Amino acid sequence: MTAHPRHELDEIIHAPVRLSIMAALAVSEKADFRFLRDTIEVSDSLLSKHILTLEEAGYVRVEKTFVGKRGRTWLSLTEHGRAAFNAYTDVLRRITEGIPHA
Amino acid sequence: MNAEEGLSPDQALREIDRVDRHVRRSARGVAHLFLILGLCSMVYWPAVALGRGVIAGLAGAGWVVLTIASCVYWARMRVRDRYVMLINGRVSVAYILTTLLAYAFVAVVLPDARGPGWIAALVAVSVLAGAPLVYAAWRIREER
Repeated sequence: MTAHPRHELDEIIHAPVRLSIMAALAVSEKADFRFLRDTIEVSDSLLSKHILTLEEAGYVRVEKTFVGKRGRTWLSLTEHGRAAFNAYTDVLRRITEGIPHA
Repeated sequence: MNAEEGLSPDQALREIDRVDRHVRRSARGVAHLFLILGLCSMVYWPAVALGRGVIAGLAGAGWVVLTIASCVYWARMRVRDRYVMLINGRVSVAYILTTLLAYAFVAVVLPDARGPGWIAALVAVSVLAGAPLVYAAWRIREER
C-alpha cells in the first residue's frame, strides 16, 4: 500500500502565511520585511512569528542592515529552504495531477 | 486569506502563483529603468559630441540626474528579483565597456571636421553604448 503524497507535504511550509513567505522568497534574491508584509497582507507581529519559525527550520536567512539610522530587514531563502520549497511544490503538483509517485 | 486556516493543494498553488506574479511585477520597474537609461545613453553621446552650448550642457546635467535617480531607485527597491540580479552583473560590465568605448571614440577618435561617415559612426557607437541596457530591459520583460 502506498502513502498518499499529501503525507509528504512539508508541514512547516504548508501553512498560509509561511507558504506566502516562501513563495515570495523563491522568486527573489532577497526581499524587504515591509514588502513581504504588504504582499502577504498580514501584521508585523504575525509575519515576524512565521519568519522565526522558518528561520528556526533553516529555511530563511534574516539580515539586518542600516542606511544611516534607518534599519532594514532583508529576508532570503537558504539553499535548504529553496530545496524544501521545490520539493513542496513538486508534491503539490503530484496531488493536483493525481500522481502518487514522483 | 485566513492565516489560521489550512490550505488545500489547489489553494496553495494559487497562492504561490499570486505571490510569484506580484514579485515578478516589481522586476518590470527595473526593466523600465534600464530602458530609459539605455535610450538616454544612445542620445547622450551625439548630444555631447555634436551639440553646442545649451544642448551639451543639458546632456551632461541629464546624465548626472539620471545616474543619481537610478542609484536612489536601486537603493529604495524593496525586493531583488532573482532574474534581475542574475542579469544585472553581466549587463553592468557590458555597459561600462560600451560607455568607455563611446567615450574613447568621442574624446580620441572623432575629428573636429565631421563628415556624414563620422556622424554615422558616432550614431553606431552611441547605439552600441546603450544597447546592453536596452537588451537587459527586453530580457527582463520577456522573463517577467
